[in-house]
Amino acid sequence: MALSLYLIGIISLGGIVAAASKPAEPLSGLFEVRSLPTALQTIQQPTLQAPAWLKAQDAAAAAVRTVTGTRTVTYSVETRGTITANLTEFKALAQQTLNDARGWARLGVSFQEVASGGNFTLVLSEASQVPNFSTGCGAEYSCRVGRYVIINQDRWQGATPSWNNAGGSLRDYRHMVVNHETGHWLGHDHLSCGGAGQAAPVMQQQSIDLQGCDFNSWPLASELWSTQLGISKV
Amino acid sequence: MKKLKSLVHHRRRVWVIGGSIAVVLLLGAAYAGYSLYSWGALNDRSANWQQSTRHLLDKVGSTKTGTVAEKTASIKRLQAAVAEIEKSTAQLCDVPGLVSWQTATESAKRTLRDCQKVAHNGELLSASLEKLSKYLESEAALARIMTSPGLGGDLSDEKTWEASSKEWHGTAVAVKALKVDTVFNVTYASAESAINELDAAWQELLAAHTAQNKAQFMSAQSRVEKAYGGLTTLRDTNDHELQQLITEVNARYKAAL
Repeated sequence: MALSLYLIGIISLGGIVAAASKPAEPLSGLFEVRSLPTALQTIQQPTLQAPAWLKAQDAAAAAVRTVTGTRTVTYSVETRGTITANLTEFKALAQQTLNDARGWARLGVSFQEVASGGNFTLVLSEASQVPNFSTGCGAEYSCRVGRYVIINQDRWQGATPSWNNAGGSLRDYRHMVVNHETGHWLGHDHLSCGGAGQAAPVMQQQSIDLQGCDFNSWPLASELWSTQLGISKV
Repeated sequence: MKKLKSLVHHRRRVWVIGGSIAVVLLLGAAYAGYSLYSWGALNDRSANWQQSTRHLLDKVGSTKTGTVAEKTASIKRLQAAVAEIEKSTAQLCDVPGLVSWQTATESAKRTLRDCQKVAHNGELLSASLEKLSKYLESEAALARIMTSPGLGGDLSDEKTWEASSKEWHGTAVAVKALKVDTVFNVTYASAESAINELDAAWQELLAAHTAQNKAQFMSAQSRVEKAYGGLTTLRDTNDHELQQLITEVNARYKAAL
């Protein structure tokens, strides 16, 4: 009896070991034979710098606007909670977005990061920490509270389902969310889609619903004003 | 004297008849042995075929795939395996002419049917492996076109835009001319769409840049940045299509072996 139990034990153990060592899908290794991902990996989406003629045009336009005066807006960057995103990349893309020739820089301002303080604070926050800024902020989206322009880390890393489902890229989402939350700091409230097929205002809640508009990460001409900076429509 | 002659004659007849019967019995026994051997060999052949095919494919499925050369070698090994399996399944259930009439009996019929089932599953496996190898071959050809260093450099500077536009246009032309297997059609369509959009977007950017038209430039700049998203779609489509083929191959492997 004892010997039978011993043998059954050995046989069962053998079966478990055999089952554990047997690969579930025998030819799945062939998936790694594909070559395209390696080729595509070398092709990165470029960040196109404004060409010299455009910079000159903008400089000329800015010179015309000297009535209101070109000014520098400073901001510092902080984090809240556990940050798994690349902070250097966050800082670089935020700086590039804020000073992009398509962005709020068209107000005739340039944005400069400073070590601390500044006119506003750009925060990269762990999602669960966002509600700590205000009861009006949820863990799901980004937010702006007073001088804090808060970017939700989950959204920074994965955009939103509605954005992704509509085919938006993560890079465009990042431009959009930085511009949108900074827009609140500049004095803007939410806007709605102006009509199906039109570019969405950057102050529209595109993270939630495009309302028939096309993606747009940059402020429309009609959004180029700021009560915060005392700039009426450019 | 007459009696003696009759006795000798009678004895010879007995020997002739007896000898004939012995020969017939011997031949019968030999034929019976040969029949048993033939049907047994058919069974053995099926089992051996399964074992050797499993061994062959396990080697194919576990090769190194890190470099382009290793990937190319893997595809070649897969193609060789397909040819080998095709050849071996074609002759797997051949029954010698001398015993083929025995398929009229239930036992021989069952043995042959079992073998034919193995052979049929082998053919299905070989067909799905062939589809996979053709897909991988087409995929590698597309990857070769898209490995041009001009597509992946630093394109942010305006001085590089003309070269970049030409590079994408050349890629679009090369992809259009590429001959691929029908099994690769879905991925190919995704590649064509993404690359044509990149080509058009870069041309628009270059035109706006040359014309120094700010509005057109802004629009083209967004279009270029968005167009790169098509490559993510292409990568996902490729993974999805390939995964489907591999799932099918694995299912047929399990059914056949």
